[in-house]
Amino acid sequence: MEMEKFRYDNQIVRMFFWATVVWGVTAFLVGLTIALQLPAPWWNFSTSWLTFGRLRPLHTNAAIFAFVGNGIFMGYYYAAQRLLKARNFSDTLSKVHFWGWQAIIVAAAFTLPAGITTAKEYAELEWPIDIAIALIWVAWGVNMIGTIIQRREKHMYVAMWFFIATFVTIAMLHIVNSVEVPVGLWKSYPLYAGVQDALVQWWYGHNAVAFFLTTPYLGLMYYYMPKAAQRPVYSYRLSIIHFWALIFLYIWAGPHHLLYTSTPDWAQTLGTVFSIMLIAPSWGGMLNGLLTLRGAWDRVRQDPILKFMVVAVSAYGMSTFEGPMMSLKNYNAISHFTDYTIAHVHVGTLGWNGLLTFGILYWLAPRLWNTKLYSLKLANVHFWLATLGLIFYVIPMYWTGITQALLWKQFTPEGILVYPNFLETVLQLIPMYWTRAFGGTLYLTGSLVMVYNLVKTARAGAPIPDPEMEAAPLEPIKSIEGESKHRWLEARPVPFIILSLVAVAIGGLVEFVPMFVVKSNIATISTVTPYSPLELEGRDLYIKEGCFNCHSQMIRPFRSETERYGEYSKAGEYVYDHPFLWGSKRTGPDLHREGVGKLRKPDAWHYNHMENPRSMSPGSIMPVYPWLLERSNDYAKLPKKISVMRTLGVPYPEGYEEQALDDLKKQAEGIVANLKDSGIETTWDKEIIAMIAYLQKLGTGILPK
Amino acid sequence: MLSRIYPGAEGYQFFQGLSLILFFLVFVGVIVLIVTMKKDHVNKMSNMPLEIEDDQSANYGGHK
Repeated sequence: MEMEKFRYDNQIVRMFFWATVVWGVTAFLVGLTIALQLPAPWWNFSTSWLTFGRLRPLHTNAAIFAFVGNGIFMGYYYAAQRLLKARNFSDTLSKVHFWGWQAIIVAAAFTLPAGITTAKEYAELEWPIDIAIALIWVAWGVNMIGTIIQRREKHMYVAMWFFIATFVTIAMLHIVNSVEVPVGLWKSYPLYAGVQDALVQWWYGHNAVAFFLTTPYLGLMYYYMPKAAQRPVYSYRLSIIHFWALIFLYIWAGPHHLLYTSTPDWAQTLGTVFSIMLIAPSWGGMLNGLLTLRGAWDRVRQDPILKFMVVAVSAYGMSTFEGPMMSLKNYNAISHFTDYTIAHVHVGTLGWNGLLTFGILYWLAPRLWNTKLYSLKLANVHFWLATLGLIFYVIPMYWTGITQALLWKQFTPEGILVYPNFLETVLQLIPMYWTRAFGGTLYLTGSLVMVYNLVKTARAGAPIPDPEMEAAPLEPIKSIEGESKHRWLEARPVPFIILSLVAVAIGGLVEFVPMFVVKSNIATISTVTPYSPLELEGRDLYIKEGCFNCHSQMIRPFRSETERYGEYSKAGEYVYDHPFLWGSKRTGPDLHREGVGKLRKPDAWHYNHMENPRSMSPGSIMPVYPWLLERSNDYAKLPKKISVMRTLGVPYPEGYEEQALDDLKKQAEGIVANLKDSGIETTWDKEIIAMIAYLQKLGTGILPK
Repeated sequence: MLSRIYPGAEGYQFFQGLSLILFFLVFVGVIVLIVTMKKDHVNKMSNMPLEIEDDQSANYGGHK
């Protein structure tokens, strides 16, 4: 048979290689910065764009989409060309993919610190960037599918299945979760509200973890672990079960982020049940990875690449066991809203994604620059710094999480909260926050050692020219008598893609259709009214400053919470919340009843607290917000906001756009007068006035002020 | 049992039943697929990453 000659594109791999390195260090640096801001709030230098609420989404986006994202594409472009025996379908699309992805990251780096955010975790970027993400994602998908179609290898290896599932599912998640109506270039409101928004968001958020941080990395594991160990994958049959069970089950588990919330019980139960079932495929995959090293364990002692990979896969096993445990209601009652979750996600990201990426970078560098790795010793130093950094990060955070839960729930024998002031519980955690920052410093230092090692390696060698390869052309695909159905499927990309889409779509449909169709899921409450124009503007400022990153708005039906915050939260209270702002972490107290009962405070308290939280709450770790007192709010978009909200179903009367500003001014002047009574002089248009109005609104839907 | 999982979702019994059937079909289907696979194909696919020459001129830098 005549052989065809072709060349791999190594240049695109090198481009993503350096992008992974640069964005990795950036993500770790931002992470360390915000880790330091908890025990040392002055670390933001009283600068609005350096506050925790704005930098935290920058950190998560940098870690997930910049570091891990570039790591996925680096690993994919190297592995896919070789597994398919074909150059990428289009070099132009490869470059569009690379530069487009970097442009999106840079856009995130500017917009998030500027307070431009949708408030949806891991989907904070505003609508113009959402559109760019969709286009660049499709560019990658077309390039991938094109390469698969022009391949010279009949059957697609398991790594390719995971890459396909990643492309298909992330496209679906991103599109469904990003349906929003623009108010301006950098502001939009999501289509969904309250409980429905929460369900869609955590269907997205959970599966962003599944299909961005997990499935593509499993694809990388199935390619690079056998390569590094020089052993075939332990069980190809197990990888088939692993793949189909994982992608089918994962998609259902999103509601486990919403246990004990106002989400209907049936959705919470589904989330729990499917999360428990996920242990089986997750651990099947982990064991398949670890057992691939059978007969090569002696090399793990000397080879830092294998060390990175072994610890990475072990971290995958730990986090995929812990995740289902945290989905049990009794476990979740303790872990949710605490730093336990922070520890859990960092076992996944620093351990699984980080260490596997480092292993792949060290494996690829000599191959991309045709030389030896500059220093195995430094790679070993990096391994120990990263592993110790991980340990010093997660142990204090587990400790913190359990401490928080215990302090929040502790009652005296007389039935009174032992720590009624939330701040008392925060102050207990400061030593653990310092220890976590030390762990982060070790991890960052290790990555800098890696940068040095990789730069020296690249300089010692030279970029290897695209090598000429030979392979027989792919013959027309024909069914073979007696071949198994999966073998048939492995040779047919189109049915494979369709079946993958069906597998991942079922779970979402089963959860969404009843949630959106059955009215009884969200009981309406007649006393719950839309936000006034000033409250709506204040809510947008709350979103801009990222307050939801530290304050939840979801009181769970536990006595410890109703004693502390008041009546537990009801689904009907959120029907006008575009987006929902339940939060996922309580660094500060819940605010859902901030405007009612014993939690309601005078306007002047909020004014002084925002200017300097420590003036009202000595020892508080909340950042200062003096700019809220100084900046005048721009209300030019108010009519448009009212109009968009009405389009989304909020019952503002027709023509209210004309009257909204007058109503806003009237309410604002009332707050200005209140402040004046307390000796504070300010004007109606200051941002702080809108923020106070919003905070005083919270909880008033079902309770008197 | 379904009514306990889906309280308030009256009229959706068909939909619920269908999802349960699909759930089992996926697992039974995958088991059937792997049981009927031939060993030569399994071996070939398991070794696929190792059979590929990465770069014919590459110096592997001490990592084979």
